[in-house]
Amino acid sequence: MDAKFRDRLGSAIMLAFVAVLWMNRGYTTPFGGIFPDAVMILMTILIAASLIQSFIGRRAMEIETNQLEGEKEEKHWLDMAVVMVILLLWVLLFRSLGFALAGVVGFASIAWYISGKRKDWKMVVKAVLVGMAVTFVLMAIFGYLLQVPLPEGEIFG
Amino acid sequence: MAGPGLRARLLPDAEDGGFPMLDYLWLGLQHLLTFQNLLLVFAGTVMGMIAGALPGITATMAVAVLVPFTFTMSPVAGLVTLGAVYMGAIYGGSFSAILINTPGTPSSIGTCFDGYPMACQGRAEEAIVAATVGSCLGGLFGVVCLIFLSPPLADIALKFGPAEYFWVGVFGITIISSLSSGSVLKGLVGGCFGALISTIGIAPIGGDVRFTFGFPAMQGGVELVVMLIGLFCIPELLSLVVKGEGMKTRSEYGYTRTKGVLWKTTRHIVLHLQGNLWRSSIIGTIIGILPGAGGNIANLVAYNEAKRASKTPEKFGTGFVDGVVATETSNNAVVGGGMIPLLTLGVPGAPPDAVIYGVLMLFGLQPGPELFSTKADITYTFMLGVGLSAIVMVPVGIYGGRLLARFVAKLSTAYLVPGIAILTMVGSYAIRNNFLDVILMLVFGFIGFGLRRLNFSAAPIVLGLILGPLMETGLVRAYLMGMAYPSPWFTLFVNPLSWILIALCAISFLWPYFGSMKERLQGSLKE
Repeated sequence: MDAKFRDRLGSAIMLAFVAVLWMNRGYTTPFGGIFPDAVMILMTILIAASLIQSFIGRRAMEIETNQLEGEKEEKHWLDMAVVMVILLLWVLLFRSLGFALAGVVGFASIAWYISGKRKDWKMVVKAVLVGMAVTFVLMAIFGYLLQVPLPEGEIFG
Repeated sequence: MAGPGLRARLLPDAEDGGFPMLDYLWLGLQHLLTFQNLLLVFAGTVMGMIAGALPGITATMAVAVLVPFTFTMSPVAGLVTLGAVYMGAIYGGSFSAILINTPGTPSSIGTCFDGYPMACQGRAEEAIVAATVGSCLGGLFGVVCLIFLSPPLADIALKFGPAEYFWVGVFGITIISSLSSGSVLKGLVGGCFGALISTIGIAPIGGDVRFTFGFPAMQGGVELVVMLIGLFCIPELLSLVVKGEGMKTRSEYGYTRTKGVLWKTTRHIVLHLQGNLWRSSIIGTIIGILPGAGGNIANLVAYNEAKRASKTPEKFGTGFVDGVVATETSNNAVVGGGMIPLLTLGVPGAPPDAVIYGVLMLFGLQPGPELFSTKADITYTFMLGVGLSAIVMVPVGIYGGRLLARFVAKLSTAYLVPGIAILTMVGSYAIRNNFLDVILMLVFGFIGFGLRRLNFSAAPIVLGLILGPLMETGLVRAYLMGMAYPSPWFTLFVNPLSWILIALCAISFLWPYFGSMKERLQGSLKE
């Protein structure tokens, strides 16, 4: 995906975002829409200008270049996708499993996966033990020291 | 209504009868010098240094993940802790820059240029001492400017009406768009995106319920600190997963202490590099004041200026201690400088200030003149606490630096990534004990990661989010006041202060274009 394509895709996504908000305005007072409408109109003009720039501009501005190529890039994208899925599951199970169990499972899963030693059972044990230690330290700090209650879980609560 | 001038604030027998600055400073010092606050300054500085020394953990992330630990603290204790974390993190970045040629934070990029060559020549300790002295002095300079410049600026802010606050918001977004990485247009789009996200929920004027898509839970809007944690921490965390293999070089961390190096280096810097120290401190403070421009810009500008001013510019990049002093002095001066617009106008000067703004809101503290009058005890204690952390950094860095380097070398990315993840989750949950906040944190984190891949920088988005309510309130109030005139928008342009701010907006928007036109002109003239 080259830089200009990314610019245009980004602009298209932002335009879609503005379109979704514009179609869901439904203000009930005259003042509620002044600012959001003005920003949406301005944003549309800026996106159009950005798109024009991406077609006629000499080079696209990059804030982050991906220097990974070929197999390595695919592997890293896969690693990132797996970590994103684990994070999503961790958040979704946060309420039902509670902070402690979700924390240990989530922490250990990510640590084991990105360690690169996935076939090593000792890594699994180490990841679980470190996960337990970190989770329980945080529970102690938040629960007892800071008096901030953490979820116990709907299954156990 | 004009507030008391600087002279009136400093003299003990001020005619206006107001509380002079020196009295506030004395009060702040008394509050700061308690066992609890001193311990928090020390702990915050150490935690910040550890976070800053870890490549991939930015100062903003360090402050963001440690915010939840301050929820049940008093405002003074919480702010003092976070200020110390910020100062420590900026300094901590120098360790990895010097020892493994990888900046711990973006503010230490320039430190690699001379710090790492010094380490390769066996002069790592000299480089660390130079970074420490520069960071301490630069940090103190920034805080002194913060203490003496903020109150008069807060007085100027008293003259601001709704229109001026609107234009201040616009100025903040235009300048950050022109200073941040990537295209100016994309920066402005990002700023508008952030501003639109800030409109979710109930309108500040009129009470409209906007863009909730039928979810009652969204009526409260998006919690700022939740979004900041998501936008600043999750993309970095995912980047660490990608770069994980590159972290193996941390096994090279380490240096030995040699007798006499500490004293000799400190004496050389203080006696012979005064020009460098002053110049870099001023550069860092001024760049810190500019919204969105942080230590990542300051350290490079200071490095370039030190090289230009030097009698031996060819030595820069070969292991020249002047280079390390320039970068580290300027990046720590940014800390105090960035807090000036934050505390006076509510416009964060640097990304970590955006997180501190969120914390101020959580503690019910509104940036502006009120912070220097009714809440002056909290504000001055906070400012002095930041200054104290610049001093605490010295013994911790000099005598604990080797221990820090060894600890950071042992910490594997495999545990660092889930460690940050768990902190972001517990942090976003702890704000309102609300599961939706955790989900939103992750959603915005993924959005932030995606936008970064599409060349949208996070800084304008965050500033749009923070300044959106300020701009909306200013715009709508100006509109309402303008209804007495032929055109309701008249009040946006009637005050001379507004003209100055509009001119600043135009300059900041057009500056990058002038710069590139000038470059093209010079290029065609050479041909």
